Amino acid sequence: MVMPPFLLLCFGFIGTNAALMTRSSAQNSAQVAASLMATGKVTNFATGPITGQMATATTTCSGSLATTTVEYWACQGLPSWATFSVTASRNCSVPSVTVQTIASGFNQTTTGDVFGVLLGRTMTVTVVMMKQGTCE
Amino acid sequence: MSMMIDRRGAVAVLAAMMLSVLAGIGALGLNQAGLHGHGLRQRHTTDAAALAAAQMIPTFYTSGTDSTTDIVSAAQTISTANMPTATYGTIVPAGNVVLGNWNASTKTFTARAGSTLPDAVRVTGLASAANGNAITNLMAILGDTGSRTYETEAIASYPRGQTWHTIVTNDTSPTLADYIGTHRAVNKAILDCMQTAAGSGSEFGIIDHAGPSRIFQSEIAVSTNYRALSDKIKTLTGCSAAWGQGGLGGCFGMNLAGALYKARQEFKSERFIGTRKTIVMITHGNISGFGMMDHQKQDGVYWPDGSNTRNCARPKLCTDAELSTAATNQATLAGQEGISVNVIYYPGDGSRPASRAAMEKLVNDAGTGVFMNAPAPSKVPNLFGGLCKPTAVLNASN
Repeated sequence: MVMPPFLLLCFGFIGTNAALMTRSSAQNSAQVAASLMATGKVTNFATGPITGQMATATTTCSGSLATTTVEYWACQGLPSWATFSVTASRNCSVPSVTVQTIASGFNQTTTGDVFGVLLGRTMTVTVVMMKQGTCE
Repeated sequence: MSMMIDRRGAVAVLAAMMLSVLAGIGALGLNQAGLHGHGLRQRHTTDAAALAAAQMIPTFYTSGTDSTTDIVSAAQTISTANMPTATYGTIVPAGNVVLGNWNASTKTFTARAGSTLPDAVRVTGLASAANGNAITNLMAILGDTGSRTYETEAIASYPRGQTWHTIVTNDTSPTLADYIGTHRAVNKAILDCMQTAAGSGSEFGIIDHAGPSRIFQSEIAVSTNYRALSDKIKTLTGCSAAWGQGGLGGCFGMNLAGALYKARQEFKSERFIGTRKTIVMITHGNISGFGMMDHQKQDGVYWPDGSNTRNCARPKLCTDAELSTAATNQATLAGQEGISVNVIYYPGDGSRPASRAAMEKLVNDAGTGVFMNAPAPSKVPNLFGGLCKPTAVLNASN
């Protein structure tokens, strides 16, 4: 009689903490990526140089990203129990840069989410910074 | 045997009690994780808002009224983009964006007082009951206050870069008479760039000319004379008969060689040795002597500098072609002296392709510099490359 609620609590805590940890990690990495992009220290998307014609790009995090790309930095330090997709964009008319990381496909086993609380859910972290320096 | 106690079910009671304790501890852990997540997000938001605000510090100067509107707006725009008001309330109220100065040695921020010229901004992010956006506290169920206050602070500065000196030569001949407002705006844009981005020892001077040239404003440090220089620029007018030479009025002809020569002589002062020097020429490029002016050394028609020979065929007068050659030679000499020569070209009352080409050549002759064709004054600081738009620096975050 006691075990079901006990287990629900335990794994509920574990699953929720996994979600909070995912959010913090994504927040930190997106902040770093946005800073590098805003200051012009990183000038490439995974798909090519950031230009007026290509001012936004969406990439799935993987181990093959180059260190010279925004996505590489946004994907750093993220847990392995979910799939992460990064959308980075630059808007010279504001001017601003936005790095958005979306976590999805949470793995039930590795998150300890036996009740599937995170199943089918997505988590979005967005960081916006003012573009610095020239933005032509 | 009747005295024996029936212990069956005792574990269930214990487990129920432990479950409550575990639930409390677990909730506490989740609560702290949630607060940490909010704190992290708010700290990043405050940092981004401070950097955005610092980036807008030049508008304080360009407003002409010490306005902080754009600075506050930038901080709040970025803050809201990261933490939407509908969800988080106003994390950065307008009053929490404070202009001031950052002392890199003592690592302290001093809020602006009186007429101090700011170079930094402090932004305080606030989530509190008083601010109407306290963080919901999960521990309220255990009798806690039900809300948490979270305050973050970030200080960012708009750093001055390297020291460089600029002399702007203004072609105020009648052809550009209608452009005097543009002259003023270009001068001011360069001055603003230097005030907000150049090293504190950077000096700014103004020459105006038509045929003859004169020092309208000798070079003085921008950081300590910004207001005086701004006021002086406002008094820049078209050429005047009063400052002519050799019996001719100041509006006679248009001679860039003289303006370049004068700027070069100014930069020969000992204090400019080994420094970065820039001449910015605002002109329509249609060089003309009208064949009447008694050209002297100060008109840039003697070269090299030590020469006593006027490089014009006729005894006193120089032709338009000879004045063009003189301008080219003065630009070349400037380049050899490490001075960058830039041309801001406005065609004035008519398009003159040949004049424009000559001005582009002038920049090439100097070796370093930029040619800009009829730019909006706000675009002129681009000729200094990234110097006018340094990257704002985050000095403190907590």
